[in-house]
Amino acid sequence: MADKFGAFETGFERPSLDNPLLFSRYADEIAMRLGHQYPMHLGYRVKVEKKEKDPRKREWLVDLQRGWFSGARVEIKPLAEKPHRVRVRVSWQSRLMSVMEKGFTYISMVPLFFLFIGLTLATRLGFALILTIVVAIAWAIVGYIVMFAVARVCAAIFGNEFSSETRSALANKIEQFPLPQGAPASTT
Amino acid sequence: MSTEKERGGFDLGRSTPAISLACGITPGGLSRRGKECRQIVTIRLDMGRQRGWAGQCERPIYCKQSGPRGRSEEIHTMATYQELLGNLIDSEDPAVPQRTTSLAKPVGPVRTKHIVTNCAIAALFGLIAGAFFYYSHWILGGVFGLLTVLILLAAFSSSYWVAACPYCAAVFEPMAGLSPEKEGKVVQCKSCFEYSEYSGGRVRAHDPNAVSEVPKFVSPVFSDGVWPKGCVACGAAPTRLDEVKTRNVSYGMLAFGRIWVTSGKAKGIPYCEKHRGAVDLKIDQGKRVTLEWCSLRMMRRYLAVNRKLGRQPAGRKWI
Repeated sequence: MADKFGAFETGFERPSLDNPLLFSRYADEIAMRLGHQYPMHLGYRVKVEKKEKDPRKREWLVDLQRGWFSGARVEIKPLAEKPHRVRVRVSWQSRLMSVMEKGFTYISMVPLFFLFIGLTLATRLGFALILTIVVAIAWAIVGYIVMFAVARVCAAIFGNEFSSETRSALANKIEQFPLPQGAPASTT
Repeated sequence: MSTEKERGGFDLGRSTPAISLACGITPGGLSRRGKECRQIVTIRLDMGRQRGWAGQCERPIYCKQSGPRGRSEEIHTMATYQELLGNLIDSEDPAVPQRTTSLAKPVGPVRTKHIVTNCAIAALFGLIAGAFFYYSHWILGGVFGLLTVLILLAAFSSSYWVAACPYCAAVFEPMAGLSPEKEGKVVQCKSCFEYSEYSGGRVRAHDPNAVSEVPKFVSPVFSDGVWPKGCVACGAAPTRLDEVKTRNVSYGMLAFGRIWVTSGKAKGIPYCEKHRGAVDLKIDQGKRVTLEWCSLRMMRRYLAVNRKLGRQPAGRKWI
């Protein structure tokens, strides 16, 4: 049963080198099943994003979006202490939010670059780096809050299909999807 | 005048080196004569504006035999795939001892060493705290003073437990975290680098077939190190050779207006078709260069094959 955050824990009994591959297949499986439930011809869009390059920061994201202003994101993230277990969370997300996040990231680089140059000329490079990082973090926090507010207001105006109840129901449904069973542990 | 200090790098292998990493200081930015060099490893740049330095933050420095600083000359070509493949050594799984050891309170030289070490650290922190108090920085002085007291308490605490390593009989450090309450606690021996586990009231060898989804089993990097002939994840016949790079930035130095970057690279890592990213190279803040493995079995093979060839851990890289 998913908790109040629309999240639940699942995973395998023991560590195995095959588990990341199986979690990747699990994300594909979720995307496929969501694709059946929310078909493309009704305006839904399902997308899988896999962050697997760094073994310590593995994450699988399944985005379910309808139009620009409504959607949900299924995050599958291994637990730090037990990487053979994952926390699956269904959060609110929209295409507008995604676009704003990307745009904000790229656009912010320009003023931060000039800030860094200015601080470098005014102080020492190390201090300029530290100050730029501090400003960038504060800028990112404020920017994210503003973007989230804009995205939620737009969703409220144009219709938000994925309310917290819907997301909880979705999480409960995903919890019933079986984990893929692959080859036994790869240690021979 | 440039204040940058360059350090040349040298590969730790003799003929077709497998691992490049931070190495000793070479005066004037020159590498050791006659050593094969390939990979930029450590760069320390003083970026102080007041000192008039201007330039890029990081740049490759290739080792050279001799000659004026600033004129780099590569003295060899990259090792070929076949050469690297030929460097893999057949190895068997090392034996796992059945013996178990019990927990005990630290006494004698172990306790003395623990107390002396902690007291030395406490003295250093106390000195810093005193300096802050002297200059009326009460908050920082208070923080360091508190740390001094905590370290002193830890030095004379009786809550620590030790045990002998089931592999080499060396004593685990009191700070390793062994305790009768910590069932399942896994510790690594600092002498033989083998992993042991506290279970059922005894310290015994850790399951040699243990695996992890993320690299967590730590081994030292060996000078002139070689790889076992087998995928570093599963031991299957290797079909490709990967490399892994790492970079470490000393953030503490940023406060002094300096960028201090240490980087390293391991190459020729054998993998099968199925696996990748099962070995990671790490440089910690203490400049210790280590390999982290997903498979304890393959880590033990790496240790065994390098010990058999008489290789020595590269150890700490002082900058």
